Amino acid sequence: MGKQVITADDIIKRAASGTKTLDYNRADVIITPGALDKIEELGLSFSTAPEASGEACSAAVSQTGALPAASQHDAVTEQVCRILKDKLGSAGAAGLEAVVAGVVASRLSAGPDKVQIPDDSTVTGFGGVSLIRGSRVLDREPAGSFPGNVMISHALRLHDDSPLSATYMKWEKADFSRTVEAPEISILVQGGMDLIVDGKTLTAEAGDILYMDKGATVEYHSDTPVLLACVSA
Amino acid sequence: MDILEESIETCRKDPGTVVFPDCLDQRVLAAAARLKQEGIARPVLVQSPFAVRQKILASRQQLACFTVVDHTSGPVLAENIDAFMALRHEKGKPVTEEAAQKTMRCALAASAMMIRKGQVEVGVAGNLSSTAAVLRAGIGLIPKKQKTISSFFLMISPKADKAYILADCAVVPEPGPDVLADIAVASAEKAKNLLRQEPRVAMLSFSTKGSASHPRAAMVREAVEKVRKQAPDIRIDGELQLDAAVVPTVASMKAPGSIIRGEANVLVFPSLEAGNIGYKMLQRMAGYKALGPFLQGFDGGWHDLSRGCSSDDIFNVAVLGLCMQRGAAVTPSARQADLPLNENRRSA
Repeated sequence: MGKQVITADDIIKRAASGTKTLDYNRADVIITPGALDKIEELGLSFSTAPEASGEACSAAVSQTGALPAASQHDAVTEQVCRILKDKLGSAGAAGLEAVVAGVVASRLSAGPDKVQIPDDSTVTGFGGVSLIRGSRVLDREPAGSFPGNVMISHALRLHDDSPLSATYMKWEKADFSRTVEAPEISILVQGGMDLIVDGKTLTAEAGDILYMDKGATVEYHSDTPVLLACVSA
Repeated sequence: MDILEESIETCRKDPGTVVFPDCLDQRVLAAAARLKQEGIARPVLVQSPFAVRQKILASRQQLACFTVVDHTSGPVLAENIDAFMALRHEKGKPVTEEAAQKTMRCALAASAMMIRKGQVEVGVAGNLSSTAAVLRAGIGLIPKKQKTISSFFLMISPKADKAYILADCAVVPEPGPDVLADIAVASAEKAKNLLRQEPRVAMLSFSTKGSASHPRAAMVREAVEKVRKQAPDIRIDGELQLDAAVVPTVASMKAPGSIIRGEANVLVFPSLEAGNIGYKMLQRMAGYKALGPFLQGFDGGWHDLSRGCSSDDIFNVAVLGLCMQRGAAVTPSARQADLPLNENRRSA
């Protein structure tokens, strides 16, 4: 929820009801310059001290995030102007509102910063979210070209306490059989393969998702290069 | 820079390929990851890729991207069965397809087959498998340079200013004169391509030049004679006590006129118990670094680790195994190779 915006009309209503001291928690509301003028005009006062102007300034944009775009723009512009007027006094105030309005409009329309991922970086992440460049996870130069060789990426587990990890597996042409040791989900990124389970064949194509339960016995057959992304606990 | 560090640098310039059949082991994964990450070698793991992946996930470490060969995969197994049956046919000991399949489903045998085919340069095993199993796979599939398969350790002094080849410390329990001669010849070669020094081989005993009259001392003397006939270029002497082999002043008293003059760099023990005790004494009581054991006698790099080995041991055996296989442990200029004997004496 964004902060409540207190306008001149709100002040008039409170004054009409006989209020002399305004009980707004000033950290939780935005009071427009018009409202401040009306408060002074009507001789009202606040029960709490105003919050520091620097904090108000830095928080102005984010605190109004829940408002509709037009209201958000007006509210932020008013608040920034008020803070600047307080700091600058009358000097330099001319045209200030137009400048601030332009800056606020520009900032609000810019959207989130785009993160540039360096060319040599495999993992980029912050705020609990990581992006792993798939093209960097697997070797470009395999150890050799042996019949049936499979390349396994290192385990993609970015946090020690994460219950999940992922690997890529890549092979040219191979047949395997296995008994699944732990439940896993695989996504066939490239290629195609047949899976023989309980005597029946499932044909998987690129983009298909496979779930394998613990204890399942599976035979893999592929005549084409395969890239599989596997996620398991 | 000691021999190991120099060997690492040599490998880094031209990384080789090492196969690990006993790879479902965190120690191997760590060693293989280091070989790869430091650009020293390209490891190949022979096992089910899904089993290897499970080990990687269980390690909870950021391990390198690995190449895995599933030796039980249909096409690989079929090719290995055919090759093994053909090999046994050539040897005059044919086997059935069923027996060949049983053999080639073993990761050790499949890895040895990769060495035989030249797909990889060196194989390192034994961290999980028994020495007998490692030797059996090697003897069955890898061509031999000589009749005897034995082993040696490279021992490096704490200050890295002295190095010795010690044999046999791990494989042959009671060598006779023929086998002891084979061990001496193979070990001498290691001084050339690992220490980059002219070999000076001491055949050890509890007796020096007939100081004791005993069949065991006589056996060592007989082995020395056999080496002199087989490989007259090798500088070898015996039987010698250890002090007469490595201390010039003692040698001048006990074995005056000895061709190695108390400056042996290859020590051949008369039995496995002596060799095994000897290398452990140097390692545990004198602080020497023990690198090995390395198998010798195969015409291909095939090495057996102790099951108590560390990940560093596995790494070291892979690096030195690669260098030995190429016959160049270090760059020739990097070592004080082939110094005249009097100069070697000062550093010994």
